[in-house]
Amino acid sequence: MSRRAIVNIFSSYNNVLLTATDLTGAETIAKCSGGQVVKSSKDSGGPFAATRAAEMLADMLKEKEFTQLIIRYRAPGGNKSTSAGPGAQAAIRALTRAGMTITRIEDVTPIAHDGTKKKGGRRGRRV
Amino acid sequence: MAVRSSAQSRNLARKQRDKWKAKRFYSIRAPRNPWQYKKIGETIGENDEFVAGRIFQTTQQEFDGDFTKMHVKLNFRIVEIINQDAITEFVGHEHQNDHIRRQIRRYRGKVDAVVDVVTNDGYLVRLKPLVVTEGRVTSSMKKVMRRKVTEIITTFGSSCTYPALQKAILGSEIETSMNNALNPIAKIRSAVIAKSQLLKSGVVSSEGPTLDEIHAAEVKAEADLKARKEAAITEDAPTILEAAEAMESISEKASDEVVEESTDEKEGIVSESASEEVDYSSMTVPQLKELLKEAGKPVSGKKSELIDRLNGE
Repeated sequence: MSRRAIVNIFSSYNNVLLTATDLTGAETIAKCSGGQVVKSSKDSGGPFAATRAAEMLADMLKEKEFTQLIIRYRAPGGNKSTSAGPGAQAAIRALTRAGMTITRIEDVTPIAHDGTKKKGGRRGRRV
Repeated sequence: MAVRSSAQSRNLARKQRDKWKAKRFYSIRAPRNPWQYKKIGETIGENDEFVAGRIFQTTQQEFDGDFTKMHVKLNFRIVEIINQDAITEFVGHEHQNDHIRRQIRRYRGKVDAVVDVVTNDGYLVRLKPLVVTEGRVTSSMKKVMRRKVTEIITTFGSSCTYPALQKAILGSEIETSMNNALNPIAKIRSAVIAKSQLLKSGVVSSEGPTLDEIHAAEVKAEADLKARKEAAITEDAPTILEAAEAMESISEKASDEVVEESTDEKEGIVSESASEEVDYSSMTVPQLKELLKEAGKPVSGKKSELIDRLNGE
């Protein structure tokens, strides 16, 4: 018997958050994040952390007999960056590697049609 | 830090597992009228109250098998729960964002409109048509196109019931009529209803005359389903068994020894590995280390590593 789940991937440059929910998105089945699996917090948004986290998530899902996945990934969005971080792709790949069947992949980055000003001021972030 | 986090996570896992056992599965069913309580998905919940009001999203491809409509997402809201069945209502659809974006390019015209329709049975529905043309369109053309599209949709919507409108949204009825009406103005690439929203459920008129009837029908439908399932099981089971037996006998006849040997081997391997894993995980670390010593392997590492080493013989 194979159950279906939605895997919500939030991928910014600083972290990757993976949350598996049921098909309505209301019940969390399992969750994991990049920060849980690496030692230094600067690595937690990277592809390695994402891979590890995704493997962990896959294990948790398999325990509960979820093998079919719908993937909804997002970047920070809004007035922040709309391009997903390096972890999103790695996480999806790791999930397929872990033997999950992925039925569809969807980008659900929130896109502001209007909204507040992006942080950083008029002259941008001065590094 | 690592130790603490692992302990925390273990605690969390324990808590989650306990909650998990309390939850049960509900099968999500499509609305009665056009779709006869078709089973479309599953959801988990501790309580009926928590399940009501959830929105289930699926694609049209999954819903009716039309693979040309894999970019259409359908939304169903759970309105009622009867035992294990969550009964939904159709609350709108949406074309996938990237599909729309792919169509809109330079030198193509885009006309969109927002049309509010009240159906025959009093449902207030907002429809958002989207027309993409091959060439650019002037604003005067846009105006005419928008007016025509609005006209088509309002006349259609106000002359039919909500279930009929749902079918029309998923089908190509409105879209072809839009195409035909707009083609004289500009060359149309696609004319679709890109989004719909149910704003207000209808005053119960012809569709659900009395709640009692609906309930009766639901009970009936459930009974029918059960009966059908049972019938299917009783019909299928012997045939499947027979087929399986027949297959076995055929294969045995075809190549007796080889087949038997291979199956035996496979079964043996499977059972062995299964038993080993079970045993190891229930054993304590000293026991595992003894086993490793007997096998002449290093005894250092965590329990999981020990088990891996034992399995990797």
